[in-house]
Amino acid sequence: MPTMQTICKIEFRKLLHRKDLWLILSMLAIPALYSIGIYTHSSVITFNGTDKEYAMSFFVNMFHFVYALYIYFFVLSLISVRSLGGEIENRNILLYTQRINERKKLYQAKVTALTAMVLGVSAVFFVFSMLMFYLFAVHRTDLISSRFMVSNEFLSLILWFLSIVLAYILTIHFSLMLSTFLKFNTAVIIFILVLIASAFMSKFPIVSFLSIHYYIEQFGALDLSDSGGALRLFGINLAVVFLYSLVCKQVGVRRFERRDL
Amino acid sequence: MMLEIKEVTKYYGNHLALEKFSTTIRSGEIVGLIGKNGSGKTTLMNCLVNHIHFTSGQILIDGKNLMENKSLISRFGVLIESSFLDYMSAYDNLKLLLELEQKQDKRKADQQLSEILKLVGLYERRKERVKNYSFGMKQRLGLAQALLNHKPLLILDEPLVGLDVMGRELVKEIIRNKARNEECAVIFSDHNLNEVKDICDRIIYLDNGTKMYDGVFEDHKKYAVTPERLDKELLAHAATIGEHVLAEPDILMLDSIAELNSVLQILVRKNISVKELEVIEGSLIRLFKGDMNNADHANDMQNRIPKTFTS
Repeated sequence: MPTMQTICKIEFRKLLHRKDLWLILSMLAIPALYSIGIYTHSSVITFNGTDKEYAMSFFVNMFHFVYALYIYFFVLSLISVRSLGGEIENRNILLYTQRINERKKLYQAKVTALTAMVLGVSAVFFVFSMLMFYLFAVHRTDLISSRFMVSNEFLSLILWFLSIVLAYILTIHFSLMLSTFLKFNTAVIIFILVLIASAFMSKFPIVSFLSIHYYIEQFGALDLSDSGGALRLFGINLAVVFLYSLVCKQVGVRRFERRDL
Repeated sequence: MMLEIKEVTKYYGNHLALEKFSTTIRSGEIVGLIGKNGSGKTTLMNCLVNHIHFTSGQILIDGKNLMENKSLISRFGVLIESSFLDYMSAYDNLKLLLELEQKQDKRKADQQLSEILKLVGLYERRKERVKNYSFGMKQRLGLAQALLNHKPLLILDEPLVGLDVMGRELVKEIIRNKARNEECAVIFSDHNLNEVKDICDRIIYLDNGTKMYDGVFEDHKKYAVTPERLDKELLAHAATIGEHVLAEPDILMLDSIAELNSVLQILVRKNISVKELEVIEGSLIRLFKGDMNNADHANDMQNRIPKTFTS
């Protein structure tokens, strides 16, 4: 029986071989265009802030910008559904189920590999944003400060970044779960509908707490020097995402274990 | 190794795909599964490897319940619908599976992969992406996947489909060698009875999920000759060549081509013409061809043979 580590490694390698991973890396264009736009005084780029941007705030703002485009939720959902539902449909899953006799293990490995991919892409995004910031944006001294961080805002920024990452991780869980019992296209369409519904929910009182978008938006409105408030917000966000992910995983594993392939 | 399948039944919704199927397969035995499309061959194989969950019954490996010891499934070499990561090369596909199955040092793994790729005739094109392969090449790669790590039981669903004559012979030879030299139990399916009977020790015929035949292949044909008339010499000769000659007052039922020849010689010598000559094939072939008229007729004939004359 292969170890979890081996299965994860193989799943990750499969992800790297797929073209759709490279599609998600197109998000790097956002900090590139933004920093070059600032540097070249492009009229397309507008800056509304009162304080000067510094490296960490630039990175988190760019990451939030990417989140707000929503397109990467769609791309990530496609990758996730293809990872399991796609393999079930094209029967490639049979290669593994016979060798990994515990389907739960295979499901978990897919979650882990996809999560590692999101974390990896986020890390690449961070490095690339820093590169763009210090290569181009930093030259606009009227808008940009060359500081890496402001200490009393650092925690809030990190938590804001993590809350977006959590939304991506939940996307993986939800999409994988859908792919255990829906066809490829149906699963992606359902995901998009739920994503839109969740975005709407974040605008209404009470139910907004159930929407992960609410927490991310709240970080945007938060005074970044209020670390306590940021921690509380993130704590609730983490609990909600954990609960959703747990439910998705339980349902996903159960459906995957019980279904005929 | 012994595989016991006990009254395995599978329903897809209300549709009965496999009905109380039972058989036993032992090491070194090659068992051929034949039957029309939808007869339950692939369903049975999928049940064996837990791709689908059977509704009732039991599968035992050396006495152990397979569903309670799922790790035993990894002892099977399986080819059910060739599936690959077509964006990878044949070599990388196999390497990936090898990694899943066991830790091996790179040199040993490389050696095993090279041996298998040579065996199935893909070594020269091992670095090419699978998506550029022909159907036959993919089929060979599927076989290579099943052969990885010398499994004691091979489950091969239509391994000969899409292969040219040379390819079919190669695969049959590999299956034979696996059974004879490595004591591997092999269960494989095909639509073509001639291909199956070539290499199988035993044949199982399935029809609409029901086992209709389970035994060695017998190509036992009977010849029903209806002469214009029967004379004393003919009857005396008939009595000498067997115990089962007179099916009806005017029909001679003969067991072999030699018997047929000897009767025909008498008929020619006596200038007696033949009104009708019918070849009645063995029960498996009749079943397989689905030639129910012929089967009914043969059964009818057998029933009409006086008991003392039947074999």
